[in-house]
Amino acid sequence: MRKVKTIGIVISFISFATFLGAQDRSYLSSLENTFTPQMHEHHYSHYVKDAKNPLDFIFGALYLSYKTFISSQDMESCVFHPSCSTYAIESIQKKGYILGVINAFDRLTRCHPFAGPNYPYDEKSQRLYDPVD
Amino acid sequence: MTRLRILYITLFSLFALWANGQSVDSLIAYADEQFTAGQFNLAAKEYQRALFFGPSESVGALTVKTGDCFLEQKMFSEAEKYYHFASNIIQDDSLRFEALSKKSVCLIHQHSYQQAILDLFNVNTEFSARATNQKEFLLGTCFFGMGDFKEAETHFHLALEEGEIAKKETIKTLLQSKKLMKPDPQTAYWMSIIIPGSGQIYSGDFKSGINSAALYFGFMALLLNMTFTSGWVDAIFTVAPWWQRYYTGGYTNAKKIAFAKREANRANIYRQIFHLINER
Repeated sequence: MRKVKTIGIVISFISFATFLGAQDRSYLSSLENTFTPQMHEHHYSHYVKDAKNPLDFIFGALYLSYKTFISSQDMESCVFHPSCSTYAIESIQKKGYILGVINAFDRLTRCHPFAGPNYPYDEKSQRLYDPVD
Repeated sequence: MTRLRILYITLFSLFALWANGQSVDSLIAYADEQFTAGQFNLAAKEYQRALFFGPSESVGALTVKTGDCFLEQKMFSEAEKYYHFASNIIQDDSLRFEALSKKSVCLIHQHSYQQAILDLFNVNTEFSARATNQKEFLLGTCFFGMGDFKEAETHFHLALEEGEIAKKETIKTLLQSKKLMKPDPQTAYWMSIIIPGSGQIYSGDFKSGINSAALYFGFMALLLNMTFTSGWVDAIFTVAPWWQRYYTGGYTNAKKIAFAKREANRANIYRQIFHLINER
């Protein structure tokens, strides 16, 4: 009985050692870029590039200019994800020019610090989640 | 009818004798296969099953393996829990160091440098010079992350062999470089408060600096124009909030830009140190 026990212990120790024995340092390689700041690249130009007609192009260009020159200089003031400007352009694309613009204005009236309880919270963007229906 | 029943029961009983449940060894082998194939999520589930059903002797190894699956998926918080558990049950110094250094890597990724330092100071590495070097490298990384470059230099030097003097000198030069502290976010912040856009230009972002200055002076001109044409009450209620908004946004962004640039400089220096120490 003692012999069987000893053999068992030896076998389990050997398998344990082979399992972990070779000191694998590959996990250290993940540290190489650990201090590299995470840059969030924004691509706003596809609304202009993908425009199907001149009106789409104008709305796309307005959105692109706003995002590049105005919004980039602002603090993070919109409480929603997607932001009001993105919501507006998506709304125009999905609902057409008249309904889309009305919907965008409706969104602007809802964007305020007390909007909290009515919308789900998006962990990733740390904003209230309100996509275009 | 009764005979038929007895026959069925007998047949099923024989079938049950035939059938075999999946053994723990085959479960681990399957998990290893999935791990090698890069199916880390599936491998983690199988290792967890093996942990539940397997013998107590292999708990330490299986826990580390489960942690590896999460580490590969960059789920550092989850991986850290498994390495922590493994480090508490493994008796062998070498394997315990392996689990603890992996835990430290997870903590570094989560910017919990002090916790990693505590763990590393408590681990025994007398069994191997290589392990000591690795421990010192991880400690140096922690101090680097905390911004204590003097202490980081000490540990990075200890991570190298005695004779590697040239590398030690290079590390010393890199860690005394002014780039580690530049651009200073606080300086950029105050510069943009005094002259809008100057903080961004100081941080190297000319486009944003000119953009910010144009918005500030544009709204300022509009504010003055409205004051003279419609009166100061109208100007304060219509244009001033916009002017204030982009002025505040300007100096807040200047600080963020400077911080991101400084972090990029630090990351670049760390990358050079990383290669100096790890590529032998």
